[in-house]
Amino acid sequence: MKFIYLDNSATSWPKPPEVIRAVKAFMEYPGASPSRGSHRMSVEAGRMAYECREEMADFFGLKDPLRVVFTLNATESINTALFGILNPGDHVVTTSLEHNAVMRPLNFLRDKRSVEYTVVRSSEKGEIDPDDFRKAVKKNTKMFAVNHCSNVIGSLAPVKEIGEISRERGVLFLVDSAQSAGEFRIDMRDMKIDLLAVTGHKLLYGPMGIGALLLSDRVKEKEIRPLKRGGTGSFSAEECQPSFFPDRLESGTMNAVGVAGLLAGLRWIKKTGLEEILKEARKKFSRFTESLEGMPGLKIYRSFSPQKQSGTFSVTVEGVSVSDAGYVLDENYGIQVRVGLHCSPSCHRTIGTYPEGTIRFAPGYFTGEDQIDYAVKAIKEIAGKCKNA
Amino acid sequence: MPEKEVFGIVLFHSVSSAFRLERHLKSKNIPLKLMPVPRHLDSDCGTSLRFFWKDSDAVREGIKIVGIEVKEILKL
Repeated sequence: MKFIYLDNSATSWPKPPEVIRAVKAFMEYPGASPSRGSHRMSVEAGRMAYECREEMADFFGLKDPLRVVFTLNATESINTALFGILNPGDHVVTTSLEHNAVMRPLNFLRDKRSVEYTVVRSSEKGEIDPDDFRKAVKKNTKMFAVNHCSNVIGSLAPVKEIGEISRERGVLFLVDSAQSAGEFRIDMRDMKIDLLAVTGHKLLYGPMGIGALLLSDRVKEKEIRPLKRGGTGSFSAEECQPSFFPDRLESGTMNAVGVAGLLAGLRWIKKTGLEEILKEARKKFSRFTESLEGMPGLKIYRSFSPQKQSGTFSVTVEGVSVSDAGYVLDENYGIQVRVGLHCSPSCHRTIGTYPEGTIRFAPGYFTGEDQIDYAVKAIKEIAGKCKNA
Repeated sequence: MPEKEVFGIVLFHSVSSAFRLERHLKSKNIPLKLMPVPRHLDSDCGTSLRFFWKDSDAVREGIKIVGIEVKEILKL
């Protein structure tokens, strides 16, 4: 049986060979704990981690590489931003396309810490009016929290316009880039992003377990509490957490193996070119959706504009439960997709697919056109069989 | 008899700052070495940067350019 991976929004697979080589190479040498001692192997590991901070800062338009804080993933970055900055009485403006990585912390903060939030409604095709952010601002608004790219329909939010409003209103701007970083250009200065939550294992093609939170100069050290406190390799005589970045937010031995892979992933993207990666994603999206278009009973959930679209989209097929479709796609065709709510119930409510959810197709850079054609054929056969049953 | 080399040392708050300065100074071909913080200078278990004292102006300039705060610059 063919084996086709169309779940790159969950994690990218396969990884570029350079990433796999870098992970293996780091484990072989230097393999030591970065910044935990000054012997040669630790220094080399620390130097590698620092190089990754520089690459990240350069890639995302951040001036100071020491404001790149390594985390486990985008979820940890978002939690660090929300729990670290928000205080009782603060107000947040967010969108109806958010992942639970934003909604669950926000609901906890609302219920337990008296933080309030307003949801700006998106259209069912992912259209967000930036002006709604301006209208939602209150005296106590501290932050805008926005998902750059929907993990369900692949629509892009107007981040630059929202960023302008955040500056105009003196509000911090948090962007969840889990589904966009590595496919779309993100420039924190240009887009006025103050807190960029990044994951390494999706479109940056690194391994799982490594992410980052990038902080603009507007986020002052003392205004953000760490999620964790502990050893940082600095100020060892002090039994209180250091006040400076990145140490303030990076306690415990970091995932240096992950950092090595992330660095290789970033370099692979730079070598391949963001434009080329986006062009490929759009090409595959078009081939996929154009082949499915007009199929009886099939509905495609995607962005309102091809220019505001990633490679990811969702479908439903009338009369076919998404879980059955997912099972048959895997069992009979070897096609790996994610079905259901994709940890984004709010988004599914917005596009009208709650609680059943959708079948999500997420091709990646290494997905072949023949694989897309095969998946289209499979969906058509499944729909046909169900119709005839 | 050749004059004895005089070294200077930079003590940092964060090891990441040490790597930042190292990268900059290396790009300027200034000889240096990252080494453990001498215990008689600081109780920290971190990394310090040793350089030739004759380059101390360039090191101070480098610190300004990369925009880091350091604990101390000492003549050894």
